[in-house]
Amino acid sequence: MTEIPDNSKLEGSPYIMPISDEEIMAYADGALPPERRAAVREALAKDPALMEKLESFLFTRGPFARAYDEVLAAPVPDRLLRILQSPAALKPPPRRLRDLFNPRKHKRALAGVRAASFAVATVCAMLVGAWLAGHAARYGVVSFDPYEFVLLDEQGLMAMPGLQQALDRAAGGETAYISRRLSVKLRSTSRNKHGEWCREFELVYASGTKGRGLACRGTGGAWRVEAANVPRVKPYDTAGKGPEKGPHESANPRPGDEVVANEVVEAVKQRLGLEKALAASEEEGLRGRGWLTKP
Amino acid sequence: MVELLPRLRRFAIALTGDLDQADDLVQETCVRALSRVDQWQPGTRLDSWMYRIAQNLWVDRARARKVRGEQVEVEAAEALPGTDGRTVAESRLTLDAVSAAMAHLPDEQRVLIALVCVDGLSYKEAAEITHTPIGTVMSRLARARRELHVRLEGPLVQTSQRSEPPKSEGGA
Repeated sequence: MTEIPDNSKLEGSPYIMPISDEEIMAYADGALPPERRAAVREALAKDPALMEKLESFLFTRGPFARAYDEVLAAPVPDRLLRILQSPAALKPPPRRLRDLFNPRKHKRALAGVRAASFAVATVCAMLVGAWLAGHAARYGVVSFDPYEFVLLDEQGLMAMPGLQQALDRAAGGETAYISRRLSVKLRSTSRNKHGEWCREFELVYASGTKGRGLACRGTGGAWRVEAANVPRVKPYDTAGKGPEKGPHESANPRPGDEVVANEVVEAVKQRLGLEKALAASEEEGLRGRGWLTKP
Repeated sequence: MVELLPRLRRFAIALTGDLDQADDLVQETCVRALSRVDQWQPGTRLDSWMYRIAQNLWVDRARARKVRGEQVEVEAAEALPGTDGRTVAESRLTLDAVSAAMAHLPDEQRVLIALVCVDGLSYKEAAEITHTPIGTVMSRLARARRELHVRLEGPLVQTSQRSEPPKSEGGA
């Protein structure tokens, strides 16, 4: 996912390149070239109209797309399986009749397809597994639905613009909306061993489900999500039973999820060597100075 | 190929909006794929190849449908009780609701949504499958995704509310 229409011809010109819908979409899909990411992030933070567009792109990749996932879990009808399992029963186009009834050729071709599809499935499973495991290990993210508040970037998991704003501006104890279903409540602020400012936050879903997270502010001013714990996500349930919940929230968080996840968040805090939390007045001053350590 | 069936069905449902039609399409796709299995080059992606077959079949069928003057989808979608294309913000998105919203999109946009959003293929892969330039893929996709979001969730109420906390709950 790297291609994007080339508008680099304007590079170096004094004009600020306008942000196109396609670029916001590529940003949401993680397909925007690295050199444009900062510009898009900046424009998003300034312009609520662009943020709304971003939300469309995240929505269609997130809750919208997942509404189709129930099909993956549904049993495949026998009539489809039968076609693949007994191809001799097929009515082939006349031209291929001979091929089809040549058992040796057929067997060979089919074996090739089976091996290939198995390879595809295995590689996909491994990639997904590795991605999640890699991130759980590197960033301490446990079973979360990332689309609403983080984005995988070259620097790691970056906070989405809504969360960026909240982390930049909201006071400790204050709650800020990130999207229609998710708000964030800021907790403590402290410095890590690299001298970066970090903030702990609570994620509160519309249904009341909660998660927690920790983000640190990199030198460029962008917040990196170091750890997050969000209830496990289940595909949409169309049966319509049970209490109403946001579509990307788990109907049944597994017992123990929270404990494990909290342990990971704590472990990440240890690794980052967080100092003592700031007092409310110190934190307010820091925010007021745009997170500059010295006045 | 058997392992691909669930994904292929999901793709077909996104295209057709209907389980029976989707399974018909998958069936046809498998039949055609098996009859041309020697055209598939080992080392290339089998899923992309199958999607290309499925989308060609569907486009052909959609063309035939139009010639016959059938216009089932949009009407059927609008007749669904309780789904006028939108869902209440807090309720779950059902397959019916997303299918109803998809039914309003032109065919060429629907294919792209199914490939990129639902199946997670890249713009480039979608461009290859649909034989469309990547720039066209991206502009169609962007338009379609805005449209789907507005249909399903409505225009955003007040963007200024975003950064305004509802009520400060005092100290942590």
